[in-house]
Formats: sequence, C-alpha cells, structure tokens
Amino acid sequence: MKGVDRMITSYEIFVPTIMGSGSSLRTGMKLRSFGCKKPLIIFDKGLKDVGIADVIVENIKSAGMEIVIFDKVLPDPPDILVEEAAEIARTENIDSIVAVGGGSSMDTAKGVNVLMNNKPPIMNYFGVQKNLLPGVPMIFIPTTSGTGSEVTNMCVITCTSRGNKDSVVSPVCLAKLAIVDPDLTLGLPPKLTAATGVDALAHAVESLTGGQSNPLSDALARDAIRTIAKWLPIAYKDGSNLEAREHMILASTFAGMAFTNALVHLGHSIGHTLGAAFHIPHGIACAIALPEVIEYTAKTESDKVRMICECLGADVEDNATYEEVGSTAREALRKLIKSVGIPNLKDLGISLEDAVNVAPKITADAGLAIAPYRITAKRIAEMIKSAYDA
Amino acid sequence: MWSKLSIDMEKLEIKKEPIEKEYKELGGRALIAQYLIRNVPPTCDPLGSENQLVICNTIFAGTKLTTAHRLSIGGKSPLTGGIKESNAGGNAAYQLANQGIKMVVVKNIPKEKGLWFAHIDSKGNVSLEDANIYKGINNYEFVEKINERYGDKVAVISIGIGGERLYKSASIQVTEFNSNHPSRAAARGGLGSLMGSKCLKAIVIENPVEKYKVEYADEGKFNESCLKFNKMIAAGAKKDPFHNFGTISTIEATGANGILPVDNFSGKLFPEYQEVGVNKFMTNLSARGGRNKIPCQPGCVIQCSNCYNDKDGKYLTSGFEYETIALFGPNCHISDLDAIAQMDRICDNLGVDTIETANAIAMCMESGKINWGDSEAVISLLKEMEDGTEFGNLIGNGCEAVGKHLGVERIPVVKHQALAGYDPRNTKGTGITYATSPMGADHTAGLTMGRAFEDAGRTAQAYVSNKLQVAICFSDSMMCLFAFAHAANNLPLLGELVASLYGGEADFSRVAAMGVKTLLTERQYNKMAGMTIEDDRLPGFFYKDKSFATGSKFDINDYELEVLFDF
Repeated sequence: MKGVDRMITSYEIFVPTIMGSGSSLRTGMKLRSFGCKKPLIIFDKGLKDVGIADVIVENIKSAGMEIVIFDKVLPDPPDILVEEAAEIARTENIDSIVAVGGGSSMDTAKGVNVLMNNKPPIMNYFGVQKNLLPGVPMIFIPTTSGTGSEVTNMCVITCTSRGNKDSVVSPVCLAKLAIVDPDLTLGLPPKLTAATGVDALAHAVESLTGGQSNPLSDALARDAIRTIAKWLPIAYKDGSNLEAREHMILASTFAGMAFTNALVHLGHSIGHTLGAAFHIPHGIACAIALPEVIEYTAKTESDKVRMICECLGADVEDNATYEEVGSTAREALRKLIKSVGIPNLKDLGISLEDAVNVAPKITADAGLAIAPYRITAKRIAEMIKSAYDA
Repeated sequence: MWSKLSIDMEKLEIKKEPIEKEYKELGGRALIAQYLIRNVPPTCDPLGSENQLVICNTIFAGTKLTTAHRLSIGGKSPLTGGIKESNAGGNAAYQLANQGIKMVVVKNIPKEKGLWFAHIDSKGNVSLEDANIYKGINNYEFVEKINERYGDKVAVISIGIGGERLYKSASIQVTEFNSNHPSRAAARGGLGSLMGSKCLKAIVIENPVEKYKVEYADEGKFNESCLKFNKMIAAGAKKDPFHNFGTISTIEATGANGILPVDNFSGKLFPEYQEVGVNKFMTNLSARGGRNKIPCQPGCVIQCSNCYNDKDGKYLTSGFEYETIALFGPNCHISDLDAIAQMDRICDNLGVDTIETANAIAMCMESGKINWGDSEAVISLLKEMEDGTEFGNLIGNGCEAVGKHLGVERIPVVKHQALAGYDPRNTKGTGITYATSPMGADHTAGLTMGRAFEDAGRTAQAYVSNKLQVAICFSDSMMCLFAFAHAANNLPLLGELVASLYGGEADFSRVAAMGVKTLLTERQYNKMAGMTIEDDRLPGFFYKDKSFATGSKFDINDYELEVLFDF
C-alpha cells in the first residue's frame, strides 16, 4: 500500500436509545407515543422467574395496551421457534414487538419481524437483505451487558435443517428504540456477568481491528474496552454494584454500536464454530482465542492493537515491533479474561485434538471475509493450540 | 478413449494418440496448467521452439452438459511472460469432441519459412496442409475461403495478420456456431502470436461421419444429473441480462457507479454512457435486422451472443461484448456504438485482442497523438495495424508498448497485460484479481462486482476475489463462466457429474481441489518464469489518484495481496 489515506466510510447510526437506571419503566409510555396498541412481548421463562418480565408487562398494560406474550425463547434461537412465534404474531395481528432479555430474545424478535410481511421460512432471508418488506415498530430492552443486539441490524438464528448459525442483516431487524436499564442486570450471576462481558469485549476489540472500522466505531470501541477493563472485574465480584452495572451496560451498547459499523471477524468465527461443535456459551466461545486473534491482527493493524494495549493499561514501547505489540495485547487480554474466571478449552474438558480439528471448519465461516488478511486453517489451529490451556 | 493430437512443426507431422493417463480426468484451464508445468520450460522464449500451444476441451466435453464445449487455449504468454489460458466459445470445441480429440499440442517451429494449417477430415484423418496461399489473409476472408474449400460444416480456429506478424496482442479466433463468423476470440495474452510463431495459420475441423462416444462411469446417473443441471442453468438464464440483452447490459451498472473506465481509467464518470448502453443496442438490433440471444456453441442456454448490423442492415460484427464497448467507447471518450462495432470487427478480422488494442489506443489519446473521442482517428490507427506501418506494429504489441513509447505516465497494465473494462478503485476485489491473477489483469479471472459489501469499499474484497478466482479456475475447466454463474445454488451437483463421468466419490471437494491446484500450479509456473510479488501489484496511479466518480483509491494492503493464495 503506497501512502494510502483513511478510506471513505459511512457512519451507521441506527437506533435511538434511552439509558439509565429505571428507564425500562418508560416502555409503556414510549409504545403509546408510537401509536401502538397491541404489542407482542418476547422473553424467556427465566426472566419471568426473576420477576423482571412481570414488571415490564405490567408497565405496558398500564399504558392501556392489549398484550400478546411469547415466553418460550431458547438460547441460540432455532428457526422453527422463530417461525412459531411469527405465526402467533401474524394471527394475533400485533402492531409492535417488545423484546426483553439477552441476545436470544432480541434475535427472536428480529426474526419475527422479518416474517411479519415476508413469507417463512426464515432461512430464505439469511445474508444481507436490502429489499425485505418492513415489519412493525420494535423496542428492545437488554437484560445482560454483552450482545449489543439492541442497536444492531443483525439477527443470528440457528438453522436446524443445516445445523449451523446464520444471520439476517436487514433494516427490518432494527429496533425503533432501545431502552438500556442497568437495574435489569443487577441480578445477573457472576458467571453470566463474565460471559456476557467478554462478549462485549470481543465486539469492541474485533471492531477496532476489522476491515470496516471507522473513526466512530474506533471511538466507541476504545471507550468500551477501557470501561470493560475497569468495571467488568468489579461487576463480576459484586453484582449489586449499580455503578459497575451502569458502566458495563453502557460499554455493551457502545460495543454494539461499534460493531454495527465495523463488524466482527475471526474471533467470532472461532466462537461460532467452537460454540456449535462443543456447545459452549457464545461469550465464552468468543473469548477463548480472542487474545490470539488480536495478536494475529497486529501484522497489518499494529496501530489499532496499540490502542487496545493502551485501553487495557498495558505498556508498549514507541519503537515496538508489530510482534511485540501483538504479544503485549495477547497477554493483557488474556489476563483480563482470566480475571473474571472464563474457562479455557482444557477447563471445559475438550481434548486438544478435538479442538484443533475444528480449524478447517472455521475457515469456512463467512466472518473470515472481514478479517484483516487471509488466514489458513493451519494458522488457526496454532491459535487454538496456544489458547488451549492458557 | 480420448485422443491427443501432436503437431510437430519442425518435422511437419501430426500424430494422433491416446491421451496420457495423467490428463484423462482434466480439461480446460486445469489441463493446460498441468501440461505446461510438465512440458514447457517457464523461462523459455515464448516465441521460440520450446514453447507449445495447447488447445483443449473441458472435462465435460462430448456430454450434453450445457456450455461444456468451451475451448481453452494455452501456452507461455508472449505478452505477460507467464502462464496463459484463454478460453473462447464457438463451435470448435464441439467439433473436436465429436472427433474424439481432447487436446491438441503444437510443438517446435519450422526450419524454413512457410505457413501451414492442420486439417481434420470427416473420417478423422489428420494432415498438415500448405497455407501459403492464405498468408496475409484475415480471419473473415480466411473462413470464407475455407468454407468454399471444405463446406460450411467445418469449425475453424485461426489467426489473422495479428498472429502472423507476432503481435503481442494477437488473438486466436474461433468460428461461431451456425453463422461461421470468426467472432469468438481466445483474445488475451497474445496466444495468436504463439500460433503465428509456429507458422500455423489454422486448425480446420470437419464434422465427423461417426461421432465420438464418451465413456461414462455411470451414463444413466450422469444424464439424470445433467438434465437437472441444465434445467437449473436454463431457469437462471431466464432472468439473466446476459441472456435477455447480452454482456452490454453490464454498462447499465458500471456506467452509474464509476466502475466503467473513462478516458484511460481517469476515474471520471461518462455522462453519455447510455449512448453505448442496452437501449441503443436493442433499438439498433431491431431496426437493422440484427439479433441477440444467439448461442455461440451448440446446446448453450445462456445465448449471450449477438449479430450487429450497420445502418444499412449489413452484417458488421458479432459477439459484440461489454469490454470492447467500454474500452473503445467511454475509455476513449467515444459514444458512437456503430463506430465501436466497426472497431470490434476490425480487431476480430486482424485477430487482435480488443481489450489490449483499445487500451493501446487510449495511450495515443492520453499522449495527445490523437484527440479524445475521435473515432475516425481510431479507425485510421487500426488501419495502420492492418497495413503494418511502424506505429501500427507498435499498437499490435499492446498498451504497455504504446504507453512507454509515447511517454504516458498512467499505463493501466498488470504483468504487461491491459486492464479490462472495470476501474479497480471502484470494484476493489476486481482490482485484487487484476493484481494477483496468474493471468495478468484479467476480469474473467474473478470479477467481484456486486459481491462484496460495497464495490468501492475494502471490506471482504480480498475474500471474495480469492473465492472467485478458485471457482473460476474450475469453471474454466468445465464450462462457460456465464452458465456456471447459475450453478452456485447446487454445487454438489458438479461433484455428482464428475463422479458419474469419471467414477469415484461424488464429492464437490474434488472439483474445488482442482480449482486450488490449478491456481497454485499457475502461480508456481510464473514464479519459475521469474515473476515476484512485485508483479502482483496494480499500477501506482490507482493507489495515488482518487477516482473522480467516487473519491476512492485502490487502498488494499500489500500484505492482503501477498497472502491471498495461502490455502
């Protein structure tokens, strides 16, 4: 590359967001201001058990709404379940959707919205879709600090017939409003706090080093990394610390906004593939080889990896080589990930051989299209090996 | 069993023998790569006796698979100095397959001056005939004379004076199915001059009395899969603008987004691009008794070819394609479709590549030798080529030769071969293909337009270029790319077709592996010929000058190019 300036970029700013402790109590009011009368409220049973769902349902009812509930959300939402929820939505003639929960609830809601006016099955719409018929207004209320899904246009669905995960990328997947209320995350247990927190971290560091990063996504990602480095260990140790929860949910939303612009790459390809092969939760699967992934990007994205080191408080000499920058970032990321008890592959009881054998599958993941430069299965296998018991 | 025809121009003899076992399951580009790396020293003089001209059929030759009769021609390129496979439509591959001939190799050069043509008669007898009476005769007239001599059922592979004069832009022309116009070209890389260096004017193939029967591992299974495949391609073709209009339809997309090259890849837009677009083309066809939806080979369901007549309704040219129109048109600031059609005809007749020649003409405009948009001056320069003037001969050696001679700074070539009709700043994946393809700047090696996130953006471009370059390596070994484009939804079917024809596992990875192996073999050949990573770069001005249409530069990281073919 001969004296190239920063490429022309477009800033994708999709979803208006209200944020703050107690903000979820504005849901009913907001729905009414959108002119909605009959929302479909989507969540999983767990949220009902902890009492979060009931409060929001009551809040919506008190705004004079007729409600329809779909509370059968599953992790890694399967396409058939999404199609079932969409069938209910169409039959009940709902005019809006409220999703409460983690990524699975929001992905289910997005899938339902795609199918409001586009014929099922959902698998027909995997990929970037520019011409889908619009659905209904949606409000997303995250209850974890990880996915950032409330501000993205991507909907990740498990394709049961093909046995893999795929995604619909479309304006139809966008919420009309995100309501980000840290109160809803106060009861998250430490393990889930850690697993979702490192997912947000992965969004941020991959956004920063991906082929489509721009100054806006860089700024959001840097802030998210700094915040996560400082507050995730605190939220992990003391889940009732509202200040830590506030910072973490903010970082998660910022990281979501960052990767809406910049997209994620190899770390998520490894995460999706390991997750599917060994049934590892998404956040943990994405964190496993994340330090190695960022080290690999240092070859062409050395400046960005320096930023990551700086955000993590790891010192890098001015004249450091890209290898040194990469290894510093790897060590700093691993330290942070370990500090919140994220297990490695060995801890998870997976054999080295099995783990390494997944490498060729990873190279078939579409996420590699966005990686900074081409990587072979052999090199990915080396990364997995390095991460195995680290 | 398939035959191989060996033509030894030193001994002036032809041998027909069974094809070697190692090439039995290969065809097209894959066969050429494997043959050349074993038989032609990479450092040889491309116009010397060590180089060989290879002409071959695809792996599906002789079957009913649509567009399986694409003709591949290869050798060490006189233009790029590297490996070259250039493929063409027309009826020659079909006729060769009917004769049971999978490949023809032309070796050595005659001890004494002369000109010959190879003749394959209806009984399968092969002979070398004196062609001195055809010396200096261009393709259209040559084919007429051959038709007078052998009837109109023959297929002809020939060179015009471009090849005879060893122009580095010389093409090998192939007659089109039904019309017999020599308008299908293996155009790129100067293979016409390689044929010329062998003093071989043509290969004339008669229709055999007895048609060769392909040996199948499981004929019933093959026919079943083949029917399914052909139906899928035909269904795809229905909505394909290449079928409904022709490749000229590409201009409707490229003209609006800065991909169409204008004024020697200046990066500007060309406001009058629709003057050379689909509406004008279709209006002219219908008003003048021209036609589109013409199959260039038997059994093609894409039918992208055409017959374009002049104002008086007289035949002017056929196989009139987007690249010719883009490069003689907007890239030379010309918006007169009839003038461009005339240029196409002249090039086909002389047997020179329209892409290389049009880029060479743009050099003349850039340097001020002739004015932008002056189509009459272009025709005069092409006439100089025909007359063999000093400057005409220079044009014959292509864009880089002319650009350097005239002191032009912006010379759009990679590996000495001129860029096709797509500005690499605004379809960056295509730019990556231009830079890294073993063929030199060649859009057919992996045109990524519309396949990455944003044509003028960087994201995913290298990934898409890599995927396409591999896919095209196997597509070029099996069929026409335009048919293959509609096969993407059922690639496993290709595995089934290969297995029912040759036996073994019905596994698509066999096909994909053939693509990867071909690409790596070609890269290795070029490396042995002396090419380095520095040869895998675009000209500097694409990195430096912004496209005026989009503000975009070619900003792909060198390292991304270096590791593009790490498998």
